[in-house]
Amino acid sequence: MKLETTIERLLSGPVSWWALIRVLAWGLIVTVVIGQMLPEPVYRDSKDLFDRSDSVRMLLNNDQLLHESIKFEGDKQMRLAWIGGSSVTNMFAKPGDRFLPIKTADRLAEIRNVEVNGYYYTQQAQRFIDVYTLLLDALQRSPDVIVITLNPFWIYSNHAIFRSLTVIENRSDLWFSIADWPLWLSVTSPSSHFLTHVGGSVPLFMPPGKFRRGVTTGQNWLFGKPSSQAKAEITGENFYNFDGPLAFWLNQTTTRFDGPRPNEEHDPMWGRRQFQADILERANTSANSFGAVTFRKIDKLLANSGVPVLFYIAPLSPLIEEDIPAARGYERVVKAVVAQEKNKGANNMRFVTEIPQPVLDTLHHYDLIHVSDYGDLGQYLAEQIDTLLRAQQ
Amino acid sequence: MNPYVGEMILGIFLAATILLVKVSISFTAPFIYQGF
Repeated sequence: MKLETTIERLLSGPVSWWALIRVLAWGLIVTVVIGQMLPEPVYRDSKDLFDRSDSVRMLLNNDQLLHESIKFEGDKQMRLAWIGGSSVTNMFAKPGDRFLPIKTADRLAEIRNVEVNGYYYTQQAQRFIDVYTLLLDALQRSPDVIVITLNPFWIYSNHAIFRSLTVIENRSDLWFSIADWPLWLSVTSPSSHFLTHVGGSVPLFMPPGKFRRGVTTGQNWLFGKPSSQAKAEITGENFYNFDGPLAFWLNQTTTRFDGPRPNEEHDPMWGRRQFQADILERANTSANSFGAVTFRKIDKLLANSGVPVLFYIAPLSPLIEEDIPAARGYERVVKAVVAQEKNKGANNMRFVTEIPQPVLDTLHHYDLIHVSDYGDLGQYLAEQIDTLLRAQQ
Repeated sequence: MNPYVGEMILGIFLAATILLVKVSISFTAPFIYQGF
């Protein structure tokens, strides 16, 4: 055996247990040293959304969850935790105006005459299982009130139920409980636990950060390019390459992109709306769907916690009415949320399933869900939170 | 060769292998974690 001879020559003799332990020790030391030399993989999107001392962004820009405990100054404040996806950010607004939770928190501070400190768990394309996982973290930080944005596209979607695995890879310990052992066993992997516990302190073992582009190009390389040019746009550079697996699924099956493209030049968001409508059309609201089961888990968790929680369905563009299959999907989703509200486990939860028309009229959507102007939505949600808190007193 | 130096070289090889695996994972994770 050539390798064995080389090793024996390196060690000047047969391998002993102590020699092996010393080799492993050197390996560990060098691993830690290399880890220190690697560029820091976790950094924040600092000033994109907000830069305020009373607000903390809990998810780092590669979707890893912040570990540290956070202390806000002063003691007469209200702690607000907000879990929501892209629908609460508006990248077309000026920097101070981009983030719905901050706008709402400011209105709430005026209404209740308190300082509001925020833990903001926001990420792009947030999936329902992410909401559950982030809630486990939020509850540990004992907030006074929690707001959960229900995105009608994702809550009952069976496709790509994970936005990504990095939240879990970073914090598989959140699922390590009697209630969650099936999740812990079936969804996490040994590497998740290893990365959670060892990766936190040895940078070389930290999970790989962004690989969105790789997901898209990788699938094209493995499975061939999408059959039509229009479908290729789903996975195009400016499109949903952060949802590679879902985009892959849709571009193998959807027929939405195969017909003529109306008003393409005047309506650059057409393809984007088709993609969103496609997801909504496929909403699975049956009682044992992944979304429904997750919702029941969230309900149970919150009922036991006793923390006041406001759920609201993110308002959609009126254009949804023009797309019959998607509009039916939306109706199914709202019906399922209303049913969930009726079966809620405790009275600390308030659901807003329909936002009044005068508030909706002040919103400006640029696709089916994302807005370029929040209008009075922040004010309305602040009033809803206030109503919820009054009912709890 | 001094056996202790040999052990150190093997240890460095071990760490380099881990680094290589880490770099490979960064490239192959997209194929592994399909997520659906």
